Order: sequence, then C-alpha cells, then structure tokens
Amino acid sequence: MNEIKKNDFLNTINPFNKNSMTPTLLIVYAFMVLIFSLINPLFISLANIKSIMANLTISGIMAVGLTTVILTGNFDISVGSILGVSAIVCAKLYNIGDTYIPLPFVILAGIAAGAAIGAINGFLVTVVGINSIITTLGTLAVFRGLAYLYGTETAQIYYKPYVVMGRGYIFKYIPLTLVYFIAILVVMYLVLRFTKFGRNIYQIGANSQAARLAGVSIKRTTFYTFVISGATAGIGGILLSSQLAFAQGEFGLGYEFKILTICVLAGISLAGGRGTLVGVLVATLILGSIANGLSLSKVPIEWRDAFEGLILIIAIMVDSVRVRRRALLRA
Amino acid sequence: MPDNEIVLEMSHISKNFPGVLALDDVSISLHKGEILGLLGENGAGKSTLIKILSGAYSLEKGKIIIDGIEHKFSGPHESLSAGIRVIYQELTSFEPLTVLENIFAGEVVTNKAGFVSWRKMAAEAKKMLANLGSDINPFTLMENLNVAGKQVVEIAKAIHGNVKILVMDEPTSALDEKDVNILYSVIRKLRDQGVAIIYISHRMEEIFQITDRVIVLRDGKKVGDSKTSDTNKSDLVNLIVGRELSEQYPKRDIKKGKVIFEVKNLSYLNKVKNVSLSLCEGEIVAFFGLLGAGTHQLFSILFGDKKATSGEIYVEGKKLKISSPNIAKKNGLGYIPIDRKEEGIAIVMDIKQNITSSNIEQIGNGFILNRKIEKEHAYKWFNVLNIKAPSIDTMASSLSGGNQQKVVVAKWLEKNSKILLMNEPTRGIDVGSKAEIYLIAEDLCEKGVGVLMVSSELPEIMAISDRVIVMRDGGIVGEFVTKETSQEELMHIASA
Amino acid sequence: MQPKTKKSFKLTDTYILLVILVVLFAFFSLANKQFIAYNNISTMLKNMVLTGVLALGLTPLMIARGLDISFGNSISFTSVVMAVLFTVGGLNLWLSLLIGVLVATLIGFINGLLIEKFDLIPIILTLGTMAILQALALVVANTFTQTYSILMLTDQLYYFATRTFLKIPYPLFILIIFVAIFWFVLTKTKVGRTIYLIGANPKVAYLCGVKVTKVKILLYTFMGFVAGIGAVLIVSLTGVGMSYHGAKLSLPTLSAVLLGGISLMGGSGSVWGTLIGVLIVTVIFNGLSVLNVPSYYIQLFQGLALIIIVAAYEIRNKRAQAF
Repeated sequence: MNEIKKNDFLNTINPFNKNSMTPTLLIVYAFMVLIFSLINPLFISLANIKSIMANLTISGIMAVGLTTVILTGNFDISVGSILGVSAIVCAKLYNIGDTYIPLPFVILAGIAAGAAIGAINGFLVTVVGINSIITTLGTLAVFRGLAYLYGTETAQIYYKPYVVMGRGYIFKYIPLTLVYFIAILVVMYLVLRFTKFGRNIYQIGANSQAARLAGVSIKRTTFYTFVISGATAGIGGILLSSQLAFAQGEFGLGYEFKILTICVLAGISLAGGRGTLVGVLVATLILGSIANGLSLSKVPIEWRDAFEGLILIIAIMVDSVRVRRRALLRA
Repeated sequence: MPDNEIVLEMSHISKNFPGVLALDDVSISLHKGEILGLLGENGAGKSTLIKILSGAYSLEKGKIIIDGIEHKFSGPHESLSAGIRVIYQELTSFEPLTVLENIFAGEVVTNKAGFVSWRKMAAEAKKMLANLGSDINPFTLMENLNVAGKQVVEIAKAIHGNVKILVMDEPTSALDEKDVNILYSVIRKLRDQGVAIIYISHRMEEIFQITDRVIVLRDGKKVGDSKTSDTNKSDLVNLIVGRELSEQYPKRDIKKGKVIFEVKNLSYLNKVKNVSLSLCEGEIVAFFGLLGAGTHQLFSILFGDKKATSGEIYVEGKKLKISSPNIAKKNGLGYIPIDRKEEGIAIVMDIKQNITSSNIEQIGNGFILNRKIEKEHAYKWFNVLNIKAPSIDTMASSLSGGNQQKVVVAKWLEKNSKILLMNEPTRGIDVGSKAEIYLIAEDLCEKGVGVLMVSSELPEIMAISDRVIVMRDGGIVGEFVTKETSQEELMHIASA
Repeated sequence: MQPKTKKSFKLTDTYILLVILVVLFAFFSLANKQFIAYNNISTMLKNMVLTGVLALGLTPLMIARGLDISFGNSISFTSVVMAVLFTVGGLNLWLSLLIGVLVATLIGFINGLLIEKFDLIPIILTLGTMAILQALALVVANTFTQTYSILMLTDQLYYFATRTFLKIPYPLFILIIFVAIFWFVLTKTKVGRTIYLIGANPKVAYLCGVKVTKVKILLYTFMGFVAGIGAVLIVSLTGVGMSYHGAKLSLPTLSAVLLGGISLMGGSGSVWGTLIGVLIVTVIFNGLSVLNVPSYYIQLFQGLALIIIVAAYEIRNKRAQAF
C-alpha cells in the first residue's frame, strides 16, 4: 500500500508518462537555446523572449486542439484554413458599417466558425466514413478558397480592446496570449486526464476494437475531437487577426504543417493513444523558437521552412521506430 | 472444495450450422467454487459451447440455467449481467495505457464532482489485484508488463463486477512454468471466493493439477464426465481421440526418393527450439502439436517469413539462407498459409490471376504477360483440381473455402514446387474438398514432391502421412512412422 | 449472390464517367462560347497534358497502395534547378533538363526509401518532403537569381511546346505516349500484374515471392521521374522555371486519379479511368476559369470535388457491403 501513496500525486496527474518524449525534448530545447544564444546573444534578450512567446502561442493553442484528434488516430490538416476563415469572420464583424458588435460576441463568432468547420470534418469522417486525411485535405482547400473569396480586401480592425487581446501584456513582461495558451493547455490537460471523454479519446486511439467492446462511443467521441480542433483553430484566427489588426485570405496558410510537426515532435503518436500535452508545451517552445533563432542567426528565410519539413520527417521516423519496437516486443 | 450448490446447468444443448452439427445434445453442470476442465480436439465443440454460454451464438435447442433461473441471451452483454465472463486467448488490451485503465476499460471511477478519480481507481484496482494475489502497481503501463502480468490484468478485468462463472480458454498457452504457478494461485483464490471456473486446456498436466472435474467433448458430443481424481491421462486421451476418417481409402504405397529437404538445429527465440528434420521425395511428413507447440512458427521460418536465430536449412543438399519468401520460392518451396483469406489468395482477384500469382515470371516471354498462356495454365489446374466455379474468371471472394484452398494449392503446383509446406490445409473445409486435397497431395508425392504438413486433425494425419513429428513447447518430442503409431500415442506425447 | 466477375464492374463505372464528361463539356460550351474557341482548347490541352502525365505516374503507385503528394513541389524545385543551371550556370539545355529529371527521380527514390524502410504513413512523409522542396525551390531561386521566377526561353523549348506533328502538338504526343506505355505496362506486362497483386493484398504478394518493398520503392522513384518530366513540360509550356509552379498541381491531380476509380485502399484502378478523370477535372477547372470564376473559387471547387468524389465512392462501397 505504501508503494502507491508515495507517488500518488504524480501518478494522479501523470505529467510524465514513463515512456515519454518530454525529457528528450527538454534536452533538445536546452541544447537549441544554447546554440542559438551562442550564435547571437540577442536570442536570450528579454525583448526577444517576449517576441517569441507572443508568437508561439497561436501554434500552441492549435496544437492542443489537434492533439485530441491525433490521439484518436485521425488527422486534421485543415486547421490552417479554419484559422483563415475565423480571422476573416471576426474582422468582418468589425466592418459592418457603423454597427458595434461587443467583443465577447466577436470572440464567440470566431470560435463558433472554427467549431462549425470542425463539425463538418467530424461529420465526413464519422458518418460518411471518409479517411480523415483526405477529408481534411479537401476541407483545407474548400475553406481556403472561401477565405480568399471573402478576404480579398484586407479587413482592418480598429477596435482597440480586440487588438489589445492579442498584443497586450500583463505585469509588463508576460504576453496575454501566453496566458491564454497556458490556460487552454491546462484545461485540455485536465479534460484529457480527468473526464470520461478524455479517457475515451485515449482508449479509442490505443485499441479501437477494445474500446468498442467496452462500450465507448467511437463516432461521437471522434466527432467531438474534430470540433475541438476546429475551435482551437478558430481561437488561433481570433488571436492572429488581433495581433496584426487585420485579416485577409492568406491567414493561416501553411500553418497546418507546423502544428502537425509540433504534435508529432511532442510524442503524440500517429498511431494513436499515446502522448501528453506536456510534450506539446515543450514542442511548441522548440518550434516557436526555431524560426526566431534561425532568423537571428541570419539564416535565409527559405531555409527555415526546409528545416521545419526536416523536423517533421525526423519526428515521424522516430515515432515509427518507437511504435515498431513496441509491436516487435509484443510479438 | 466444490460446493454442492449448482450454479450452472447447460442441458441438452444442440447447435446446428449449415452442413455441420456442432453440438449434439450436450449437458453439463457446474458447481459453485468448482474448477471444471473442458477437453476436446479442435472442432470438438468446446468453443461453440462457450459461445452459446456467453451469448455470442444463439441458443437453438436446450436450456441454460444459472442459479436456478433460465436464461436466453440475445447477445454477449446479457451474459455479462448474468455473471458470466469469458477470457479468450487473444488479449484485447490498451497497450499504451495503464493497468488500471485496462481493468476499468470503458468505465471510469469518479469522485463526487464527477471527475475521474485516479486515486480511487488505483485503490480499487490494487484491491482486485491483491485478491488475485498480485502486487502489480496499477499505474504500470500495460505494454511494460510481461505476458503473465497481462494475463493477471485480463483476469482482474474479467472479474470486476459480479462474476459467477469464469471461462478461461487456453490461459497458459503463452506462459512459462513459473508464471503458470502464479496463474494457478490466482485461480484457486477465485475458487475459494466461490467463483465457478471452466478451464479449457489441452495440457494434461494442468488439468490434473488444477481441476476438480473434467468433461470431454468429441465430435459435438459429451463422451466423458468425471471427477479428475477418478481418471488418468490415458483414459482422457482415449476419450479425446479415437475416430477414423469417415472416408477410408487405402494409402498408396509410394516409393521414397532421395532427401530433398533438411533442417538442422533450427531455433527461433523461445518459440522454436533446436528443431531438426529431413524430408524425402514422395514423402508426406505431418507435424502435430497443440497450442503453443511452435509448429506454425516453424513453417513461417521455413518459408522465409521469419528469420531463424540459429540453425541451417538444406534444399537438395545445398545449404540455404532462406531470408525471404522470394528466396524460398526460387528454391522450390511452396507455402499454403493457415489463413487463406488474408495470406493465401488475393480476394479481389479472380481465379486465373490467383493461380498465376506465384509464377508470373513464367507466363509468357520477356516482359509481356501472355494472357493466352495464363488462361491455359489456369484451365489446366481448374480441371485437374476440380475447382467448382462458373469459370476461371470468377472472383476468389465468391468461392467456398474448399475451392479457395484448391486455388492456393494450384498456385504452387503451377510453380512446380518440389517442397510443399501446408499449414492446416483442410481447416474449415467441407468433407468432399478435404478428400480431394488428400488425393492431390498423394498425386504430388507420386511425382516426387515432398510435403510437410501441419495438422491438428489426428485422423487426417493417420490417413495420409508417412511420418509424424510431434512438437511441444517449441521442441520435437517425438518422431514416428505413421503406420507404427496411434492417435492416442500422438496425443499423449503432444500433451504435457 | 451471383459470383462476380471483375469486368462487369469496371465497365459501368467508366461509362458513367464518360457520360459525366460529355455532360460537363456540353454545359460549359453552352455557358460560354469561348470554351470551345481554339485558344481555349489549346490551353485545356496544355493543362490536360501536365495533369495527365502526373496522374498517370500516380496511378501505378496508388494501385500498389502508395501515395505521394510532394510531386507538385518537386516540379517547382526541379524547374528552378533546370532554369538556374541553364541561365546562371550556362549549361547546355539538354544537360540542364537531364540533370533536373535526375534530381526529381532521386527525390522520388528518397520518398520511397523512407516510407518503405521506416514504415511511415505516405501522406505524412510526403507532406514533409513537400515543405522541404518548396523551401529549397525558393532558396535556389533566390540564391542564384534573386527572383523566384527564372526565364528559360529557348528556341528548342518553344519549338517543342508549339509545333505540331500531324496537327497534334508535341506535348500532347508525350501524353499519348505515356498513356500508351502505362496502359501497356499495367495491363499487358508481368510488372503490371505484380503491381495489381501488391495492391490487392501486400501480404499475399509477399508470400508469393514478390519483393514488395523493392517494387514499391521503384514505384516511388518512378513517380519522381514522372515529376521530372512534368518539370520539363512546364518549363517548355510556360517558358519559366518558377518556385510556385507545382503547388497548385497536387490537388487537381489527386482528384483526377481518385475520380478515375483508384481506391485509396489499393488494388483497383486503370489507365482509362485515370484518363477520364483527368479530362473531367481539366474540363471543370478550365470551364470555370472561362466563366471568369475567380481563382479562389477554383480552389474551393477543387476541395469540394475531392470530398464529393471520395464520399461518393465510400457511400457506394457501404451500400454494396450491406448486401
């Protein structure tokens, strides 16, 4: 009995799964910070850190949402387009003649737009039964098209409180967006860990047959994960348009890639059922800092994308090796 | 000690499937706190009986009475509420998740606020595991447990909630000796708590160590029902086997040729241990082994699907490293897999395409696939093997099991294999097709082909093989000339 | 249930697609006379050739249960490389083209190697390759020329793009040759049968002695080669090597292939189906642009088309299984 009590708290919240990627990631991150700061000490200047933090949070929030989808063994590569649509929805709401739309309503609209598209994804995957990769590839294009359609002229946002939402700081040094990120991360962590819904997600990914036999409603749970992913992408749209004070059709172009990379890097296995949000936190830090670090190191902008592509490939290879090793041991 | 109170009565159960009477008026009774062994060959009716008990199959004739109340289950979930739990061989577990989540699969234990309480779940899980005599930490990840540990967790999962009757199907097939003892203590603890247990196993040693009573099924009928202490291994073996092939035909006397295949000291992890054998032209050598004996693994290795960890293989005197099926094929081996739908034929292709699938290189000159030649070759085997289908363009998915198997055989005949590995070649096939396949095998032998055959049907082995090799726990425990042995002797040696 | 033969199944599909093609063609012709103007037909043919060649390259790969979505960006990168070699590097035209094709082939090989040896999900890996290639295209273009679009106008290429032989433009010849070769290989050769076998059931193919891994890597490599040819085509048809050439190609090509009856599950598909799929896709998108539908609508339609196609096949499969 004593054996459990000792680790009880840690076990209950379980931030670090025994086979977690997180320790490795932390080491990688520390290493990375070291190298970048040696190349250019500005990297660890306060101003730069503030800048990094303010920017990585959008990816982070969206990665939190995408995590739930990947945990069930699906994919969602339409999140970039969802961000675009949501950003435009919000910006447009501030441009309807002289009508004043209260801030909470706009926020709600942005999230709802994202959730609605997520619901469409969820419907196509669970009810119609299309492979999630192809489905979201399709919705990626459809909604990117829509974003371009309605975002041909950039829609400016002059409403100050909205802009402050994305650009503001508390206690002078901590970006508001970081607060949102941490808050959303913590809430989702709690949901995944302490609700039946959250556990169902893990079980579906771990073994969908067993989950079905045990009475878990696979369709319903999967559907909701897509809605969540869409909603977080919606939040991303709100924040991006807030930070930049405008919105246009290109917003979010290519984001899905970065966010997928964050998730895979974080140890959210593409096979499903494995990985925690703590890894997502560290992975977000890593990917958020890379772009910044590379630019401070005077690496040309095009190499950065190549770098991120390389990281994705390495991450999925590592993921595959981990999964294969387990399967081999099981045989 | 078995209570006198009867917890389960299955009386006069009969079950018909198209073409086959799986169960014929079987009655069994089970007492509280009793461990009942259920024995019988493959196809004897054990799993049908259990599936009826669990509600997976519908009850046609007969009654199921639990604690005096008659039940008619329309599905497995109903049997669960009646207190019946079945643990099958294939473990369905959530590998990346913790032990306690596996035990509570699908449910969670919540605290007052409705949130998952890991503390409560762990405490309950710990209690259940302790009841089984296990000290596994509930927070251990399932994938970090060994097979024995997973077994215990599976049992804990099965018994949580109200359980009256626990059925265990070959629970020790993947366990080694010390783990088996752990399992025994778990089972005995359950028995002491009044749970009635049906224990299906082919391992005689276990039957005599753990069961109170034993029932033997054969060909769908109950042929034995006695207290374990009142019987012995030979008697049981005699009850399990002891029937002849319904169609008798004299085995042809085929002259053996030279040695074409030899295996020396082949090992693979702990699944195949130091196996050596030799095969001559015109011989049919059967491999008999019960669950876990290693026969299937051996054949996978011989055909290059798995790589041996040590040992040598010689084909026609030449030492070979069979590292892939491609090499095996090139050296004259053919393989009829145990799972014909997944590994034997391509279901979406038609008969002629399947027949030529191992021999594509020979169908025409150069790069071109000569359709005319393909049709000719396909027709040849279509007729020779008497494949019953409208034409060679019929899709494989429309064929019966027996005809599908003939297509698989044709595939290797087309390739002129000299050494044919057949893994349970007549499993799930109707009687008529079975006979045809035996004749085909003998025809092959007359032409000088050597056949190695895994089979779990003793009558079949007795009827068509020249020699029998018995395996147990990965190693060879006996080698006989078929004419000089008996089904009883084979079964006796194969079971521990 | 009546035993099914394969032929009856395929024919009805193709007929339905043909009907759809004719209907669409008629619709667009009626909607705007410009649709059947000589200029437009010539544009359509150019698009058709490019999409067609790529779709044909994808066909055997997808039949064998493979997938590659990086070919578009491979074309971008390769076309930039060719242009740079020719203009900045001063290399002979044919050498530049050859090197480009080799590079593209190598990329295909790397894709195949990683996917097969590490057992990766094809679409995710090629997503990664896609990003790297896009970036590399920009890098090369910027490093050597400070633009992202490099003129590569030569007489030979122009000649190739515009002259005709028996009234058929040369590029179209390439497509015709491709169709002929692919049709021949897939239906008449042993290699083709092997590809279908792998798609039908990789494990069965493996146990029949097929070297599945090797064949699949070969198919990925070949797709790379096809992308290289695509780069040559695009450079001759447009006269530039541009870092953004390929990005818009992936989705329509994929839609064309899926429309033509290639299942994501593998094992089925044919050259004719793909061809009709390409025709339909070309007609739709060209028709839309003639109707002056803005380009973002087109992307919207591309996505919609993909979803509808896959959904339609999925629903049909479900209904068939229900019986």
